[in-house]
Amino acid sequence: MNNERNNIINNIRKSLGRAGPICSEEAKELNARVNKPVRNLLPSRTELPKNELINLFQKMAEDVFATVERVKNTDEIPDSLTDYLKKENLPAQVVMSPDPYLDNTPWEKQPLLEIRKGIPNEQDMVSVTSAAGAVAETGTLAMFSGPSHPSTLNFLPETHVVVLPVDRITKNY
Amino acid sequence: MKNNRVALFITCLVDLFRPTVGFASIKLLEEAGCEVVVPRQQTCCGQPAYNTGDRADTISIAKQVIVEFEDYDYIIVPSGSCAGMISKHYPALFSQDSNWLDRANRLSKKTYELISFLTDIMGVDSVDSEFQGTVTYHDACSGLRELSIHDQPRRLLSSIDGLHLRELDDANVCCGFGGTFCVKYADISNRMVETKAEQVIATGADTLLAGDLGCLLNMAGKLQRDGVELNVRHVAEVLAGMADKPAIGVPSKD
Amino acid sequence: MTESIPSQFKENAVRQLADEDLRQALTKSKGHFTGGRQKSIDNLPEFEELRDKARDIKNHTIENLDFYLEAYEKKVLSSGGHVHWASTAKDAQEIVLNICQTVGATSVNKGKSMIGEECDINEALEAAGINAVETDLGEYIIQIRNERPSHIIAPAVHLTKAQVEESFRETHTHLDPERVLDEPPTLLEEARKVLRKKYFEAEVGITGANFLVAETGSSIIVTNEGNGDLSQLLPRVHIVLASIEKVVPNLEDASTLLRVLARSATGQEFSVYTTISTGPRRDEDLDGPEEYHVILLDNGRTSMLGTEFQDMLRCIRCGACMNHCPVYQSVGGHAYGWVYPGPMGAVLSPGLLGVDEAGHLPNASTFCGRCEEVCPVHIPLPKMMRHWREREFERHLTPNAYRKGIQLWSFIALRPNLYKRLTSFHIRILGWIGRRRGRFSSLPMAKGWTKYRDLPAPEGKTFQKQWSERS
Ligand code: SF4
Repeated sequence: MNNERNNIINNIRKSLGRAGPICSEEAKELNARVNKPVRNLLPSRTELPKNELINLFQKMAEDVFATVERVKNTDEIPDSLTDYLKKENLPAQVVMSPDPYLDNTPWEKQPLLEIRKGIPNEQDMVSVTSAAGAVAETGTLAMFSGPSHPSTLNFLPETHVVVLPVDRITKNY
Repeated sequence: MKNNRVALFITCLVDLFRPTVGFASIKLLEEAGCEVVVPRQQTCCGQPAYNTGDRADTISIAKQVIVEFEDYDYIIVPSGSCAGMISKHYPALFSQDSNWLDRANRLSKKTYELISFLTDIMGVDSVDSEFQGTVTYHDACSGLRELSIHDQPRRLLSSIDGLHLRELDDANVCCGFGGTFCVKYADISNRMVETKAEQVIATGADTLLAGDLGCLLNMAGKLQRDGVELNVRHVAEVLAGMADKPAIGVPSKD
Repeated sequence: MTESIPSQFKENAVRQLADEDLRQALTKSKGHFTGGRQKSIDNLPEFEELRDKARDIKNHTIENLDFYLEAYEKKVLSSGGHVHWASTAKDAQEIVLNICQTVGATSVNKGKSMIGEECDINEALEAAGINAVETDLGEYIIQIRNERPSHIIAPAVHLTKAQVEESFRETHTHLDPERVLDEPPTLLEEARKVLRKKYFEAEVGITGANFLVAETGSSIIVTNEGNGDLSQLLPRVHIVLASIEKVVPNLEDASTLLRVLARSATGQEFSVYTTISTGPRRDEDLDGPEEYHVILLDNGRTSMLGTEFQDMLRCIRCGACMNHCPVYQSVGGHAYGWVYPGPMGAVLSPGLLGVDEAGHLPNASTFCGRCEEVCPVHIPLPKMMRHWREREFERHLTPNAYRKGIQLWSFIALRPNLYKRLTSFHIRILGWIGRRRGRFSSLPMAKGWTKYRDLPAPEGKTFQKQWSERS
């Protein structure tokens, strides 16, 4: 295995016309590039005031067939969720990420809503999570995996509902 | 007349198959105020050898062209692909040979395709000719992508009274000629030119124009094989008012 | 399945050209891809500048490939993953089998991976008695049809809806035979249901990687169905199959490449899912694979480095070149006879398989230049195809008739007086013979031409002859 590794690395060096590893001066520069990335060219479509940025996010997300519903505060979330489930003919049963942010939502306002925290199983139709960030440029949500956000919640259930605080919307990825 | 001494690189296909394009080119160039010379020691630009991978012969042919043409103010070619060969590919042949590289670069800078030379260098924006009918225009690949020839022929065509231009769907897609490709891979080439012919017919135009004779022979040959009554011509013929000559592949009346 | 190989490109092409279903399928997809790309680019004024940057990022990485691979490896190890190096496809197969056998795997989920195709991983797994399940809809369709992908991002693009429906009915015999199945959404729905079951059965998930990030030791995949993502999340072991040139220095660089990738590929602003995986699950995680392996494959790439084909290693596998290639759009991907079709395959396949084996591919091009025009990382594909032709010519691999023909023409072209003498005579004869019809429908020396087209007759005397008579 180690041999294969050395073969490949040596072949690269030989083909690139180098006898050994990159000299230490250059390696310093390359290391800096690896460890301290600089921002690259970013699309300027996101040069907008905050409010417009939210609109842009919504438009981009809707362009790719996401449904976006704006609510004023966390109090409105439970109603909004159950309305949506009803409209889509989905059961009032969700699997939710054990996310402290979602704990601040008064779910008890919808006593009929069944919530299970944790990872989804094959039967789960709807998952609810928050998102660590959102990108206005493309209408994309960013999620980090971790104990408070198991990644399977993003992929397994057919419907994924994301609670996104607008201040997490950023310009670009 | 100073600095407007242009050498016409006739191209082998025009020389052999369609001399009318040569005369049309000379007429257009003279009307634009150029003094036109046809250097005698000219044959082919070397594309067939180049595209077959025969670098040695290509280099010999390129040297011959450089020697014969380098003393003129401009070298004008009524073909995008041959003009591209001289201006874009000759320098790449001599990357190892600085003397020839210099000469190739110098030649490259003063080599132009006919129509774009008229508009971009000589400032021609209209031609004095007549044509009655609807034409469509195919953008031959090399001219379009190597030399950015797109608006120039359209601009000049639009200055002709009685000429109506109808745009061709996928005008920028290859017709399937590709030099030796069309005989080496005849079946594939056929599918490509078949598609092109369908789109040409769909425009309802009575005349198909383009700026490269290889593509024109290919498209004309296909349309005629299929029995389609449509005139195929080099764009220079129409611009020079020489569309009274029989179209490509059409017998003369006498 | 009809096995096609690159050396039989011509025969393959003839077979494909006669396939009406293929023609229909390609006509349908073409406009979708080319139109979509154009639209998304029109929406992004920075696109051209991003393309240049994308090219520079890849060039920089390739020129320092050893450094970035080592940096990447270090990060993978420190996040608890394993890195395996494979010089050949065979080596990669062995590594995969080894991992699968160690965990006693009987079933493997696969996300779409072109390196998997390059290494014939499915065949190797099946031979070892391990069930390989393709989870990408397109890959799944061709797997049940026992075919190969015909496109690097749309593996089943050569099929019509009706053909897919037929295959589903034949394969999913447990479902109601009366069910309605004639619209793409119903097909997708059915595939999802069938596949969903299998996700939970697999012990190992194999995916490819669009990028490997040296900064973080991560692999990035982009998908539209979320299938690859589940394939790597649910099983106990995740294997990433990637070729060495997939590495990039950092996430910023990856972001720039992502900005041109989806737009060039499908015309999307961004793929539906872009998943960044770093190492196995951590102690506190509730899901994710327990083992994370990366297999870095060379398979001929290091021998392209430092040659006129080095630029090919910039390729980010977007497929734009084939979507815009009139030859690919005529014959479809299977004609190319190996994993990589279209212009990128015409350059890459001879590099990986040898020009003896894949020599046809770089010849089957008109050099129309559309591929280079759309390539997001500015790979000069026609120029490199020409370089392959030069190598073939040097090694006398060019078919003799063409070689002789071209050399004869060059011989004449280099002797202007001979040229004039020959042409003024022959062209006049030819013009004279053709003067009644204006064209020929058959000519003994131009059969390739006159098989499908008439040959317009020369007008008469050559231009040079006429000109010399005038002046
Ligand atoms: S060669 Fe360029 S256009 Fe073709 S797949 Fe690779 S990156 Fe895309």
